Amino acid sequence: MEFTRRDLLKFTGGSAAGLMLTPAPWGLLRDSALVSETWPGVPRPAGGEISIRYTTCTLCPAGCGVRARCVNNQPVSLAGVPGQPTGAGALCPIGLLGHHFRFCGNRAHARLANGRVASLESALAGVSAAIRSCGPRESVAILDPQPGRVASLIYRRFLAGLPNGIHCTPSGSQPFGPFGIDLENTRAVVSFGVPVLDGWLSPGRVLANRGHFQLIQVEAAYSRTASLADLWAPVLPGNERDFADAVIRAMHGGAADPSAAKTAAILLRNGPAIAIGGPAADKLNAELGSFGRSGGFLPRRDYMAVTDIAQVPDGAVRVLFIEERTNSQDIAWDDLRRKLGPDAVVVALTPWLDGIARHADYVIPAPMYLESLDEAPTPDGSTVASFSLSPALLAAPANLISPADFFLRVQHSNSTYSDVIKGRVAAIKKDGGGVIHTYADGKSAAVRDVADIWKNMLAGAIWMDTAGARPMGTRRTAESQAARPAPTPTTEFPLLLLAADSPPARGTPLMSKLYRESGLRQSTGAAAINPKTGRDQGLQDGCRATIKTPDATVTVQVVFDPAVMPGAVQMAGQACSAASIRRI
Amino acid sequence: MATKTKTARYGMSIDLDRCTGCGACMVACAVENNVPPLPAQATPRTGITWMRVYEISNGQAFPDSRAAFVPILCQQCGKETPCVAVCPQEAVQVDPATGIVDQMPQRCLGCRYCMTACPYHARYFNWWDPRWPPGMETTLNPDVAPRMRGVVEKCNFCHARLHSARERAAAEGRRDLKPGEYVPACAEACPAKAIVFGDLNDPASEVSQLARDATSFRILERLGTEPKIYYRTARPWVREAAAQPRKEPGNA
Repeated sequence: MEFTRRDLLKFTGGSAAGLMLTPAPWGLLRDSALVSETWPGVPRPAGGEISIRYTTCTLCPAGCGVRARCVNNQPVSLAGVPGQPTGAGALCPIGLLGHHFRFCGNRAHARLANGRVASLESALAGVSAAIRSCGPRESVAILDPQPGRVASLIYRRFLAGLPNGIHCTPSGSQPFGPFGIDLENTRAVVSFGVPVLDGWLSPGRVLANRGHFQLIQVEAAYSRTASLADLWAPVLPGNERDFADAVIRAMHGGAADPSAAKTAAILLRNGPAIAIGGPAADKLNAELGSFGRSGGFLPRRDYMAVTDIAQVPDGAVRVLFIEERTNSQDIAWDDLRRKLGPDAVVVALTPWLDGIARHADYVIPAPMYLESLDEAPTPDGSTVASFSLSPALLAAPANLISPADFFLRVQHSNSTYSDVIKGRVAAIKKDGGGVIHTYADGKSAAVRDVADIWKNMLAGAIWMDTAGARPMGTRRTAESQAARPAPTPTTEFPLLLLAADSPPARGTPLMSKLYRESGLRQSTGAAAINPKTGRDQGLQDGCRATIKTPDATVTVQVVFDPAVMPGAVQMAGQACSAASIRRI
Repeated sequence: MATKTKTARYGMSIDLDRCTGCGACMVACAVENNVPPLPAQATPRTGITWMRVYEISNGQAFPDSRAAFVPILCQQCGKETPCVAVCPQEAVQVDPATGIVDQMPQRCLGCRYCMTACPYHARYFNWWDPRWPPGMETTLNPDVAPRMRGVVEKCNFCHARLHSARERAAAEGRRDLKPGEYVPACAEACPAKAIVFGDLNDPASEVSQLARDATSFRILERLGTEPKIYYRTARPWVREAAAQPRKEPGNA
């Protein structure tokens, strides 16, 4: 039989048509699709045993409860704990990404002494020698970012053994002093530049009560809080006291500008009211009688008074220890440097290499959030004392030592930080009051024995004082930060640079969703300006420009925003200053 | 005879007067659904945010400016779903049991017709391979497969959570889910409790009642696509902005 070319074509065509009637090509299509989904360029999430673990967030002093979904004991997502008293079941975006901090760059891994890698023993010896060399008028200071912890007690005990020990804290770390805010019963809040709706106290608590209080935001910048407040009173920095005076005048029937009159009307209609944010707030609080009453400021039991770093005499510190937390805001080095003597030694106890470690003689790497046992004392603004633990959910890299353990080693103590925390738990039991609220079941029970409290706290629980806040009639300063007055425009610097909402000091990788990928939040590379002011300065929306202040020059992308005060330019992460702007 | 599973129509009601634009919903969504952080060159046009919060203004100048924050996600159109109609690959389908508009990356060929057709700009294209910083792959959700470069993705109401909830219900011998048993990550994470999720077919559900509230509306309702995301506000200017979007610079 002869096999022609035509037969070959017929056979090939028939085979192809027949193949289409079999499952083979469709299976191939499916398989290639599956292969394309799992090709080496696409990571495959690891499977494993799924478990739920509980902890407490220590990224800020709010102390929110955290429910961690773990795969093979590795947290893969964090969420709030419904019913948790301090966090009200919510987490902020930073808290939701807390398990990603270890993937940020610039992690401190090695102990450094004067820029060289050192062992723990040699670092301890060097630090101890520096302390011994202190003169009679020289001090050893510890900068504590969150006083009131068990770690703070360890610092105090260490400093008590020295002739000139100073336990200090960055300015503004204890915004309400010995008081908490009875926000649940407050009906009006006058905020002098405090980001009430953008990270103040715990977001769950503030937002759960937002429907119950009127919010008056007094600040020049068009911030997130200003844009959502019931009343925005744009007042230039330095004029807050005058505004407070005007409000008080208006409350007594006197004449005042429209913003002050509206504020007074709101305050008269909605009591009890409080004011927050600086000396102007103190004035208003005195007028409103906000201290020691329901809906105002109430004293709590466990306040630890610590020296503000600004009160430390310039040039007095010989050895300065600085504790930096995972999410600490950057500390202004120029403010610290003034406090140092000529031969001062700076010791940074930090998880980061890019913060205060750049200026330190000794860098002692510390564990990050979720990497070691930590604690959450009473949150700022809470009227009720509380205490909870943040047990480690992640394995910490080698060579790390917690700041509290470091000081115990300096003192040659046999105790560990964990032992001292257990002492705090024993004190809670001895006191006898309060309840333990467990995260897993949301139930509260009376304090039983120490072992029981410890076990519950390690599994996720918080002790809440039942004694609560007691009214106290004295008036005290809530926040004593002096407002920096707005500079007067000059020919060289005709504009006013206002600080916009600042991004966090360290963004985890997924914070890119908020800053770069969506533009929901203004990044540090952008500056907002009123369109009229911008055009007067020869700018166009979206153009590149240089902002110059007496201290610095920075290149930005200009964003025209009619909400910005005319004559001003708003930029994240900048202090109030005179400025000029020029198109590139 | 087997019991028939109740047909659900999942939807959301978002209170715009509660939303503070904190972005917790956006990051919770990214964590839950293994959406990677994009390279430094990513922009608001190329970034992937299944849930994206937009800031809108009342259009007034200083000092009368006011803002509202509008979370936009796939509106889960229930009728004439535009992305379903245009997809040449049948990579998009509306699940009749839940009303959820599903996107199947395995079928997607990356033509992006659906992105053009979507009236809400709620679909995102993978311009790059999904990459996480070294070691961060260990934090990925094992229930969700990362998508490859060259395909479109979008919100699916955290479909993996629906599967998990169904598995738990099945383990207890139930076919139907209890209210609150299945909640997407954004609704769970919202610190303002602005997002309420549930079955719109259940007249007793909170979301169903809120959807019938007088302050409730849907974005671009006039298109007749029956979106299942409802918004609420007592501020008239926010409703007006949603009904008649203003032209933005560069988008005339």
